Amino acid sequence: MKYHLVRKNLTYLIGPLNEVKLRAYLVGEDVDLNDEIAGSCGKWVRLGDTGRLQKYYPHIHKFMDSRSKSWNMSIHSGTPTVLAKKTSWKSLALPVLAALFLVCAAIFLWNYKSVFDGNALPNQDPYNAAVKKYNINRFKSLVHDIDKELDSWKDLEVDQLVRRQNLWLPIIRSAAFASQALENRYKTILPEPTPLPSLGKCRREDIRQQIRSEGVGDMFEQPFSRDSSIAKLLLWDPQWVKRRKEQGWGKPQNRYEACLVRVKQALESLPPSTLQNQVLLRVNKMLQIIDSSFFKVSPSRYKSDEKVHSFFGVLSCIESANSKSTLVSCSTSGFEGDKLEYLKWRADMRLAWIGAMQGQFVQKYDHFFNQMQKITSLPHVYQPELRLLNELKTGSSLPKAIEAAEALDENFRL
Amino acid sequence: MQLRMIGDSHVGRRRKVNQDSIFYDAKLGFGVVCDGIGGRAAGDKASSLVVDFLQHSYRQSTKIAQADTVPYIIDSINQANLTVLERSKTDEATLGMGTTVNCLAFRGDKLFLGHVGDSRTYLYYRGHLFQLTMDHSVEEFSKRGWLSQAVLNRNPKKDALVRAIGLFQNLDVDVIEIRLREKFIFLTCSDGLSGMVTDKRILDLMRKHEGELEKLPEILIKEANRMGGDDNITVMLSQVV
Repeated sequence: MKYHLVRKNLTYLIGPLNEVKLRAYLVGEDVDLNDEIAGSCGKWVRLGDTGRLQKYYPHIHKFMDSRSKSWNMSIHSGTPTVLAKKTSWKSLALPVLAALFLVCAAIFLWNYKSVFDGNALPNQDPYNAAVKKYNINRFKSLVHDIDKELDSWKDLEVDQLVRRQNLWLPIIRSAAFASQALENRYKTILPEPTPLPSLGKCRREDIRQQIRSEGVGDMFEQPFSRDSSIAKLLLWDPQWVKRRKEQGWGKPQNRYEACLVRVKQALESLPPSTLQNQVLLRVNKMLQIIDSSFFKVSPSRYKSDEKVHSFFGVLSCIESANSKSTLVSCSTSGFEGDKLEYLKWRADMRLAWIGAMQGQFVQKYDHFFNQMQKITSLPHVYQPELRLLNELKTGSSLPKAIEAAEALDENFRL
Repeated sequence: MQLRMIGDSHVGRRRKVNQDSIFYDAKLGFGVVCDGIGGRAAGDKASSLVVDFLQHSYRQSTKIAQADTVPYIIDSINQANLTVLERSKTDEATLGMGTTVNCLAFRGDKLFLGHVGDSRTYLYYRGHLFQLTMDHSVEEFSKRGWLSQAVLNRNPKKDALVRAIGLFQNLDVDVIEIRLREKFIFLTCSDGLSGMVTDKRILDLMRKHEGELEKLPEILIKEANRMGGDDNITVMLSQVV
């Protein structure tokens, strides 16, 4: 009896599965073409990598082929994995390749610098290799897969959503980075070639459709809906984005801010509409908070917002509050159900941060802290923020907590 | 489910100092294997520091809920990393020290495996062997397309580590989770074993001596030495009974 092990997101293992159970898994709802499979003493092969699957596990390849599974690439819902073998080297003749290798090896050995010289090896997004090859069809399928991934988030709770975003954005960044290699029609949506991330649906037609669709409309008027990728982005906490500095980024300071910039640019390129203006207003508010320029905007301008009592208006109010009294003025009346719960949670978080900034972190904010712990205690978490919160919770003074956070990243800011 | 654990470490045939460290406690349901980075100073100090840190930390954290084990492991390995970085600055002899880590926490019906570097954990089950951890090496990352050519050009050494404790302040920790079954045997080892003995050979030996867990560390170490013993060899076995 043969057994195989399945790996999801590079972290969660299922099995070992015998042949019957493996087949059941492969036709089940949980299967993802980015799942990897391994046999005894075998290589880990992604289910969507048909070439390697056929080579190493022909019986599995045959089974999946016979079930007419889609062989298009799929976005991994967790940590990015490579989606394609590098093919560039295969196009070179072997002798040339060997000669090049020897020459390079000689040069590199001569100039060898230990990898342990303290310089971080950059964590390359996996799509870079593929999209650099100016393969428009490939990019289209990547964006399609990004859309599919967004669609799969429909039933996630907010904190699960944030976790998925944490893991998903590097993929988007990589795909967007290739914009310079694309057809002209994409250039009108995507900004100048810079290593900026992008929301999957930054195509003109898709954004227009999206803001007209139920998703974003619902965010403003009807029961809470998470069907919209734009809506998900609008829920991000700009204060959290503001606190996060990622290595290699200047301005924008991290991938989240960059993502917001991309959406803003995409929205601004479209013909104006009321709904689009509201979304743009929210995105601008978020960017202002991140940039700290929000406080240069006079309160009267904010209050002239068409939908001051709209969901995002209240959210922006909460996020920009720097004192308890200002926070209290952000009225949540008129909201109910999960919208109200969400607003209360965000207000709770903001109150705790206001207290922290004033050196008055109160132990009673367990709910807030537990939420933050769940969201931030993940791979790719921003460690300085986690350290700051831990220090405050255990009773350190604010200056000491900041010092501890800065010890991890001198660019961290409260 | 009950747990049995056993392990051993050997300097190998070519090295003078054993830079590997090991800890295991079946009652605690916790084990750690660390391999100090050769080519850097004080690898043995780094590995023993991390083993001590993690086992002490774990002893004080046994009441953590199963659902919180993943963030706990990530946090404690990160803390260990910072401790090593801090300690490495105190003495020229320890400057730049580093180590790999594989730590196994058995909580309830699951194993949580924290991993950084190229030490490995395998799962042996009914005559099958699966490598659970992915090597954090230039070779593995470049195979997956995670390193650009420019980076590869700067780091041609294929077995160089891209992640290890003591290298950088920000550390990415892999945590692998698997539901336990009876007859699972986890083999955790430094690359002194996996670099010298093929997976197939390891499998053959485990099949042959499956019922003699207490002898397996010695058998595997002996095989690694027989194949050259170029590096320190550490083996830890955890069996679910």
